[in-house]
Amino acid sequence: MRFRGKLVDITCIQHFTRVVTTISKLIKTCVLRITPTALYLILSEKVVNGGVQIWCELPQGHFFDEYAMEGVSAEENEIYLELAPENLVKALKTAQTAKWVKVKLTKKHAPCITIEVDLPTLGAHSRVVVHDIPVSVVPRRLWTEYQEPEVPNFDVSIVMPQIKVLKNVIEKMKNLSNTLLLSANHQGEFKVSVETDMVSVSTHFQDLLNPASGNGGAPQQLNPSMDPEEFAEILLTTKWCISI
Amino acid sequence: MCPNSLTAASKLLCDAVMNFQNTQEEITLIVSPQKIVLKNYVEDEPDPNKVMHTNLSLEPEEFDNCQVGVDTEVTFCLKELRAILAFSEVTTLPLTLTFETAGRPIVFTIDSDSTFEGNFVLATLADQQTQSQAATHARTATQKRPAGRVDTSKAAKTTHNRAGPSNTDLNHTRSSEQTKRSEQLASAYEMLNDDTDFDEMIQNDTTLLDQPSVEALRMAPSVCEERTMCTSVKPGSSALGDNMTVVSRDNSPIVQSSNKSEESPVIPVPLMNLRVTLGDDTLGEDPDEEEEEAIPGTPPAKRFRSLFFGSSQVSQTQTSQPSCAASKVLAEDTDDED
Repeated sequence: MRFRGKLVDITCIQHFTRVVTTISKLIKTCVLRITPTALYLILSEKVVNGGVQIWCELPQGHFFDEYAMEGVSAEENEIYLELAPENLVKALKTAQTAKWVKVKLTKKHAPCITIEVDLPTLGAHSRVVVHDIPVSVVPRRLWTEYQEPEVPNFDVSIVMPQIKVLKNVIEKMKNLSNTLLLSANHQGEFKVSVETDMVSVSTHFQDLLNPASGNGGAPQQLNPSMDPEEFAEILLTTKWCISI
Repeated sequence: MCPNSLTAASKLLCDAVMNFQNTQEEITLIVSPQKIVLKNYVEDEPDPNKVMHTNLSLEPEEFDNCQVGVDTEVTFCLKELRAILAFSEVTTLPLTLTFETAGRPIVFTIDSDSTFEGNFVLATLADQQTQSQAATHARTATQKRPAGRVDTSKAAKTTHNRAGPSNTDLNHTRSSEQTKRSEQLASAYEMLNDDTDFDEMIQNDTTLLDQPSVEALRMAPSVCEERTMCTSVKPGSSALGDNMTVVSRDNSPIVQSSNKSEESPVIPVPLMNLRVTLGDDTLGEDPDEEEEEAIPGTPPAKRFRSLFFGSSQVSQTQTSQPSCAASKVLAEDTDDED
């Protein structure tokens, strides 16, 4: 099992860091799946009352300038590693101004993901910081747990409004209630609302995009019986919304 | 006197230290003529294999002055270093590090020729594994790591960090305040683990600065075991009285002479092969559970609490003379005054 990747472009490094930081805020440990075409950060929590499932696909060509991997075997050319994304974030935080970042799978005191960061210096010397993040290898028999989840048939697909704005709105709403109602329709309208015995507050966003779904076809075709103006609604706990 | 000396612009060290986590307690500096490496210090418990390791190499050319006499690894408190760097960066003066080996103190010096000179003395961890170069000076041996590791026949100085030769040259300008504070901190370090409130500790333990080390030991003529238990000889450490035995390898009259040596911790003793074991059999049975004692002038053992609190009632049975001039008090202990 071998893996070696190099990120050179500073925007790629920063983007990668942001993605991993977002993931690290949601979960404590996740599985990193390395394939020849992409990196995946996966969490599948099998909790009775609905845990968090995260599936994050990072095409390697988008981030890495150099990328080479060898999986557990020729037929199953993939690597599954369990790690704490928080450690990855800590290492990448030192790389925000780096000249390049190398990510490798190594075995030091234990199997590790080694992040080597080359930092710019005033003089002629190179400054290389090496971080060793301990990982554990996920055995092949458990790989089926980390397959891509099925996206169920959905009623509405909509591009969310600016996350910053949305976050502000939701943060104010969390003082009112624990559950939040998100609604969207095919007309590009999106509504965030909170309802309690005393008060009901809602924020409306308009002129948003309804993208065609990945399954192909216009949104209307997915559920033809649905009125284009009707809202599809879900209830979420507010805390979870804010953490995203 | 001090074989290792590094001088660098504060910015260099600031940048280097920035790469370590803010929560990182201790940092290890490894020097050799080819390169200087900074590593985060990982303790044995919890599992070191589960913790992220970071290291950073610097080249000797990056330093204004790099003089490595002894290849060594010293571990000291990173938080203190950050504080020192915060100060030195404002002064834009270069910072000089002077140190010897693990267990010996490290001194950070800022020298503005006319205005002031600042000397910050930090204790360093004495690690059995890092003492791969034999200290050729014969001194009483104190080791930190429990048995199961390499049994070193090394000797480390048992002095409080005040006794270090580098300290005798310090100017008593505004540095004395910092020095005293660092010494107190270092001695506070020795006594308790990190969980304890330092202020409380310093107040509780006002005897530390005055008592000689001899009272801490009770010599036992028993032959030491194959496993080496590591404990420290510390000036004025009453906590060690019950459990410490310093035993020589060949169970000979050396035991007697080391007794004398404790009266003045700096006096060299012809003991090349001293092993230190804990006299308490129950502790001795299981080396991995062994309580570790802090060596004078080093950060504390983490599992020190029970020993310290358990034997804090042990009175000083011997009233030897205070330490000799080599460990002179650079500044009076102001905590005693109310």
